[in-house]
Amino acid sequence: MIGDELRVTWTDVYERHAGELTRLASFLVGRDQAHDLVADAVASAVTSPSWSSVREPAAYLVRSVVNQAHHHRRSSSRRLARESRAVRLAPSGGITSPEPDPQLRTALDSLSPQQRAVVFLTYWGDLSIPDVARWLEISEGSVRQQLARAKIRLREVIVHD
Amino acid sequence: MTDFNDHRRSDDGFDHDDQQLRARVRRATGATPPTPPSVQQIEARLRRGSNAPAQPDFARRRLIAGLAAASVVGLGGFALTRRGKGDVSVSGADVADAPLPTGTPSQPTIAVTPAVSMLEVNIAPTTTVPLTRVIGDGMAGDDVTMIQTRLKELAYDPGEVDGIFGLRTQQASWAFQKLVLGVEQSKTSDEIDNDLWAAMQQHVLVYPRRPELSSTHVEVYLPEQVLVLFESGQPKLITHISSGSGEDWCEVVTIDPGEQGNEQGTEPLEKGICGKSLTTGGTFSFTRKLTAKTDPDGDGWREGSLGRMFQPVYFNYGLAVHGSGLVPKKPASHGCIRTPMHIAEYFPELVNKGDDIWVWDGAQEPEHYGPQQPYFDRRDPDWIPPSTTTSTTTTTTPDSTTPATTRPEATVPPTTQPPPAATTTVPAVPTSTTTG
Repeated sequence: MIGDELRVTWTDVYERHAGELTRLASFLVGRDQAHDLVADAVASAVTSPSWSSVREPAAYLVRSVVNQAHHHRRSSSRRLARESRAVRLAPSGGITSPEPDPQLRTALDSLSPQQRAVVFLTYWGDLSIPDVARWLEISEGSVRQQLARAKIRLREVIVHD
Repeated sequence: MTDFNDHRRSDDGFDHDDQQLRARVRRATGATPPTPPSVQQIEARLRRGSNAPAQPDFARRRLIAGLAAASVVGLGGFALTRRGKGDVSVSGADVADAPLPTGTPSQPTIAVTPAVSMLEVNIAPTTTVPLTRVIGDGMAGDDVTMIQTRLKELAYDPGEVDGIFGLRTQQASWAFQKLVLGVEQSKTSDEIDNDLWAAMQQHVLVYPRRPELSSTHVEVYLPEQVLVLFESGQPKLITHISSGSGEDWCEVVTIDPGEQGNEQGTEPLEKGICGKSLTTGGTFSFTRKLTAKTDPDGDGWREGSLGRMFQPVYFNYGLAVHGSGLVPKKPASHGCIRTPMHIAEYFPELVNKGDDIWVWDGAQEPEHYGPQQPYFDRRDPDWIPPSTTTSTTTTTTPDSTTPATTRPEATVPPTTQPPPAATTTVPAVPTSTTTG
């Protein structure tokens, strides 16, 4: 269990980044699961033995969310795919999706969580490649590669509006 | 945005397509953001003892509990308490006579819950009337009503108590014979004679093998091909099942768009795969369910690539407890647990996501396996895909090209401060076809 001292620290860090972490989670696994994912990831991160020695807690939380997304993704990918399919097929006035852009959601679901994270940090977070690499603790080469692959896939699926 | 300000930097040199994509991502992400969990909500999660993801801690705790209860296992798993009212000798020598109303079995290893004495009262035979004929398929009469009523009291489900001896009543009788009398599956009788009826009137209690599991939990006994749903230590439903046959198979399956292995496709995808029809023993919990209510198609039927499933409740990747019109007296599924249709109609309502379901395979205790992955399907090496179709589909589902070995790409590589890996190492992607 965590001591009071530690709790002050993590709540402080978390509250500062809660909004962005939830946006990230939403981007990774969809709106309806973002809340849960963030809660899981933060709980997991702050009880980790290495939490106290982390230099960049915000980045650490980001990575924890990305890691956790693997698990959320597995259980939900099928359902999400079906839901977004239902949305696409629904006549106007039919089912509405919680997703602002169901087509993008479908496209994202075909990417790995890390690819999604790279896309998010690059396009939304406006981070440079070296920064993304640092945040995710992967090499710059990987970032370039993931981003390139993600773009190819996203273009394939997202036809022009 | 502001939180990432320190690290933001403009990124020059992206092309037009890139800009479009960027704009789209930003539009979607910038839409009303979801509510973040509050600090209190996360703290609540921490206080629950095992922080998320709960699975590993959970499993470990269960394992210890399971070991403590290992002595019960020696009894053959569940305990029977019988009061010698009838004159029928029932197999299962580990049975202890118990005085009413405390109902303490003489087996010291069996923990008796206070609920037991209540149960004994409820379960007292309604009648000791002997049968005057052997009841067989299609027979009708008050004696059939009597049998059905008794089976219901004992938590079997013979369907509607209608006085007609049909398949449902037979299946309930099979479950009784297998579980209580230890009759081998293939030797179970389709008829009910006076001996069997007398056995049914015995005072028989079925205890969970693992009373420490979730209040509502399911125990599946593969050697007996019986499933028991317990609620607060008492059997709520006992049913005949048909599980995986253990055979290897190779088939060409059709995966509908949106299903696993064809998530992004718009056309059904044909694929040659091989697998093993195995229901794996182990410790699981229910992960999700598809009912007529939640089914987008509205009928509760799921067209798995290997067969149809009615109202499946999943517990191990593609493996589910589901209804089927065909529940023979032998393991016949591709790995799922088939129950009779009339039971599958309400079974999903009895269990919730997270409720335990443990599977005994007759070889080892479930704890030995833990949450064992099913036998995943692999690509059929001899299968030649039809060249004329699905070119569009395959481009949008690259995963399908190497199904059994694909892993979710690129987990965060080892670092000096690895973020807490969620649950376990990422297992091989379950391309398990949903089995029937």
